[in-house]
Amino acid sequence: MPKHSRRERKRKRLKQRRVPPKHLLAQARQSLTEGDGRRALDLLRQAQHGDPALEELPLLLFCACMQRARQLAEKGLAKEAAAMRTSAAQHRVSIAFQPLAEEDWLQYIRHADGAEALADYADYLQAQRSPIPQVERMLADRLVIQRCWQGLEVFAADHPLRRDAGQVESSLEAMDAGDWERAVGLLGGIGRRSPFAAWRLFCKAMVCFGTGDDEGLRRILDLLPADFALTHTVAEWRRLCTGEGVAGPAAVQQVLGTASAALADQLGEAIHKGRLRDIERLIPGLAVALYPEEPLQAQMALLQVVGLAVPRNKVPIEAIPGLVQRLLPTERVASATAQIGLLIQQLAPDRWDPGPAAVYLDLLSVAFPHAPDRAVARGRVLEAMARTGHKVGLQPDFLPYEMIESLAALLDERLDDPGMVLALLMTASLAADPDNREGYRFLLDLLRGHSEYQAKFEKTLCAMAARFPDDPDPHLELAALHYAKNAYRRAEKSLAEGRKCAPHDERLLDMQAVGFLKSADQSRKRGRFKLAAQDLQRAEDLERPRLVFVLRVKRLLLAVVSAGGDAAEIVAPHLEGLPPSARLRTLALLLHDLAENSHIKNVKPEMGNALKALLDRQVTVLEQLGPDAVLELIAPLPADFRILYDRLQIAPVLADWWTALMERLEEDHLLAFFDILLAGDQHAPVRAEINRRLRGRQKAQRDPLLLFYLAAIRYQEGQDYDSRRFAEVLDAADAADQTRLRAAAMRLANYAHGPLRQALQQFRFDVLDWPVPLFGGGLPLPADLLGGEGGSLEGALEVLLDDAAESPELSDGELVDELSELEAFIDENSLRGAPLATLKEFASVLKSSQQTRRDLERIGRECEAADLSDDLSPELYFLLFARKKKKKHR
Amino acid sequence: MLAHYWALGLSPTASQEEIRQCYLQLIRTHPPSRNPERFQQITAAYEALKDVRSRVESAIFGMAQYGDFELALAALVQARAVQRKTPGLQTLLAAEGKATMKGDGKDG
Repeated sequence: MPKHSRRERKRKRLKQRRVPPKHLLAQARQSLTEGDGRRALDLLRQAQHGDPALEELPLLLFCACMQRARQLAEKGLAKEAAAMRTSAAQHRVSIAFQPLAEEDWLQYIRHADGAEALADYADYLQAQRSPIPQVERMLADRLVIQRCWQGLEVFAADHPLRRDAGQVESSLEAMDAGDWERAVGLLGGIGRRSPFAAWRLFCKAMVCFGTGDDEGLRRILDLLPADFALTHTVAEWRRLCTGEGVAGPAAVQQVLGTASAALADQLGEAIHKGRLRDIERLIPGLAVALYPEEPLQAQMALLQVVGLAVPRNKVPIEAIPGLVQRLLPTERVASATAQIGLLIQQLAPDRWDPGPAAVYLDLLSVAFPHAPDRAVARGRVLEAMARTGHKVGLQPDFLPYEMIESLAALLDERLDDPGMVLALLMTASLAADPDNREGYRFLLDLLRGHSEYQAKFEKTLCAMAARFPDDPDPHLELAALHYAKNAYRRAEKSLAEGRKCAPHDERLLDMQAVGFLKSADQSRKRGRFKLAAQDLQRAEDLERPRLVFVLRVKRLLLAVVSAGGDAAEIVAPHLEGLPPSARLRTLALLLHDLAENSHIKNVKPEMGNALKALLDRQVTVLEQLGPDAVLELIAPLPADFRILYDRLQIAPVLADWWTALMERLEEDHLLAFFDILLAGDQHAPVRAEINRRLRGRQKAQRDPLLLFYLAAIRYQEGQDYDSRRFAEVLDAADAADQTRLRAAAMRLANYAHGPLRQALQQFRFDVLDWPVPLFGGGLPLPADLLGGEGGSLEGALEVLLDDAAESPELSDGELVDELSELEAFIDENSLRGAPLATLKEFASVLKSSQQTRRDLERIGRECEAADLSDDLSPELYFLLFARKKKKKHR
Repeated sequence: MLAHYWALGLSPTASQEEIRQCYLQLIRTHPPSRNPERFQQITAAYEALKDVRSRVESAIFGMAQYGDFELALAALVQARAVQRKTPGLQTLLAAEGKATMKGDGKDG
């Protein structure tokens, strides 16, 4: 031992010598409680040196020696332990038991041998002292633990300890065998005041614990004495039931099977704080605690849990492959990493990436050894990719090269038409798992409305009808498809097939009536008015309530077209009996129908003009319309009327009245009106109405909902390129407004696309400031599995802009070079001559990176300063200035 | 997902029939009136494993249903809670570090 350490100890001892012996005793008691027998002994010896006549000394010396003896024995120092026991025995002789206080008795029993403690307490009672219940309870604990039943003979036969010992002793065999229910039964006769009562409660608690009755367990824990012998077990139960207190030691958790809860808490904490080393250290232990039979399975599940923390930015995605590699056997690494990648994409669809799916499907036999399961698994993975891509509003035409490669690997075919990616994924999914009814519905949703995929749509419907003969839906869709193509017989046949599956399905009858209306339309267009009237009658005979309104319009249209006279004179008498809103809507739909048929020979422009004049004369009726009637007036037609009308929106017919109508609305009705207009891409009137309502108002008085709508519209129109306006609205909104905004975001997401749609869906607008979200951000997988490295659009543009960024002020020559490179960039990405919507989308994707946006804006400014903007192509002009290039007037 | 098998007290290799039998037995012993949470856990687990498609879906994407790592971890641990052990007294005492031999004098 170093010299200075010895000196230090000596100094401490000298210092302690100056402490009064009573204080030393108090310190020794404290050390005993803390389990530091060595220090307690040291302090007691000093106290003894100061005042050998202290009354408490023999008891405390005995306790300290016993504690130290036990500690020495635990260390394997048997001789030293025996010497310490001898010393304790010498001190015990000097203890005066009669005047001992309750606390001292407890101290003594805590350290004494069971039989000796019993004998001493019996002597104490024989001296006509009153019993101490707590001491007797502690002795009962000692009896159960040490089984020293013969020591009870010194007690009177009616003493509670001796009286109840028989029952307890007989129940020990059940307790040792873990048959706690039987033990409860055997202890049935133990009263509440018995020293053994806590053991009966303990047995009951164990039964509750075993059956998962945590409520019962909690009640019993409240009744158990605080110093009950099995301290750690009780503490562990308390933590389990209430989540409070310190967990029991690992050994206790192990035997109770609760080790997992404590370890899980630690793992949760480690993930929360992103401590990768702790995560790596805790997972194997927790896996064993959770599932000792197959810890590998549990490890994989826990790694997936860690993967779920990636979207919350708790764990960096780059750390996942390393973790998996270090924790799992080599043959599992790739499959498990890919699976975590798939999971992350489920939670964060903006990380859409076919790479992990390609790897996972390649190694499917690792996770699914049985072929039927494997086929279903393939189907599910491909469907998940299609659904996630659809959810995030994937722009397949902008996919980077490496994703195209991964998709080709996934689909086992070359990807000639990237626009078909999602449909191809879903088709491949159904090929692997053809019994997936919801999968067919989703594929139909993907194909619906795309005229170029009509053949595939029909093929899918036929396959679905064959696969699910009990489902009328494909027949209904087929009928609609045939009607749209004027194939009436085939449509009727499909409806008949549908009726076989569902004879009472109202939709089939509605469709049949719509079919008659369609047939009537065809006859009318060909001038066969009699046939048209017959078809209209057939439709009416089916008595479909949903079609009454359209039927009325079709009859009026036939009357107008067949008569060829003044349309207003023909129509007006039929409107007289109708309520105001029905009158207006009938006229609006009639005008809509005439507009759609304007190319037909028998439809004359005068007809439309006359009816428009008639509608304008009805403007006074507006005053009579309530908010619901206003919405009913401009509501689009139901989707199944698409067979009859090219456009379902009839609101444009009433465009002159929009402002007047919106002025009559507030709150939800106004938002519903906005929804109808936004669904028809009518942003300007909504923006104008919002601005009208906000004008002249103090900032604090402005409705955050209107500001939110305005922010979304401005972004969609290309006036804003970042989240600033959204952030301002959200920052100013209180909790109630946040809820309203969240609901509004979900509504607006239906009409938005690209990053805005994603931001609205997730109600997180920082995505509008990030670099292009759809290109990457996925799990880094080995390059050879993903088809090598490839470039991305924004990467290419960044390379182009890098030079410009290095020299903020470009010379005219450099600027011209820069502009020609940007023109080449437009050519490379096939944007030359692209429609405005495509350019808009492209610009919004590019400018979602702040740096790129700044660079483009700077080049734009310099271009204007150098008077070069007129020389730019329309496409580059739009990219730089976010507006169409005006044509020069000559 | 592993948690669903654990909730039913089964191993991931259990057959479809075993899953069904186990579910029927468990809902008899844990009716919703006695322990609604446990009943819900059993039903959710069975829903996730009742046929090949849901079983495979659960095996691949099961964790995503929790939406968050904390919920997923809690679900894993809770599902395993049905594996609580009720050891014998001697085992428990040994784990607690309590001496059972006479004369060892360890505190009670």
